[in-house]
Amino acid sequence: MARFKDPNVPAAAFQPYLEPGEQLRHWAYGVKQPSMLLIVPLFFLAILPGAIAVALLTKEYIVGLTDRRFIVLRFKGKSINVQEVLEYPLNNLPPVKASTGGLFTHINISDPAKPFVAKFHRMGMPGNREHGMAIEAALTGKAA
Amino acid sequence: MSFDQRQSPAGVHTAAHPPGRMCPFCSAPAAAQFCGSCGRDTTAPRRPCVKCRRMVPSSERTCWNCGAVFKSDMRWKIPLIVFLFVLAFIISILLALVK
Repeated sequence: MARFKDPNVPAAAFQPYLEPGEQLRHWAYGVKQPSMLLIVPLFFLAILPGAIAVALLTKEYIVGLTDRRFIVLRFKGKSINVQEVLEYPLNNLPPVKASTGGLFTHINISDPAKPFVAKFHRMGMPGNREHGMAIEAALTGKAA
Repeated sequence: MSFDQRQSPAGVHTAAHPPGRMCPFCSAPAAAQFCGSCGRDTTAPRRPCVKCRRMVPSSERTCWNCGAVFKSDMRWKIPLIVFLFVLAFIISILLALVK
């Protein structure tokens, strides 16, 4: 079930993107699936091709909270082949909505130039829920 | 200890960007949001070039370093998805005819 059994693997992927002296505090693995308005018709048409289509259209992310920035890495593959990097300075954060439910932590950054939405399953990697909640607390200012 | 508790007030960077920051595109020192060397937004979304691995702004379609052209994944994913659905329908029709 877990995408990463060792949480140090996604943590190591941030190293090339950290500034001098910057420290990674929390990190989490999440996904962005296509809209339910697309998933439902695809599954209604044919279950197996629908499932394959949803898997192909799902984007995978690891996000990291440092002492300066919130960093998003979109990646492919088990070896974390980074496809895109987004960053949001903590001292100039755009509006953020985040919440944690029974299974997922949802993070939604409403930045017109670089919007970001993803959900983080508690089983994504060991400690994913704790890291997700700590990131949620830091981005929204809520108590952890 | 929460993240906020670990953040000492002295550790919070009040400037736009801390010193020692480098432009992710041209690697020149870039303390401000816009690089003084290449003029790019140093916080812009970016992606590594598949050929030379240098960072390129996501809004640019070719690598500024080696000229490689970025191609969308959707270029092969959408045809593959359409093909899978067509294949599923053909198989279902064939199975219905056999029955």
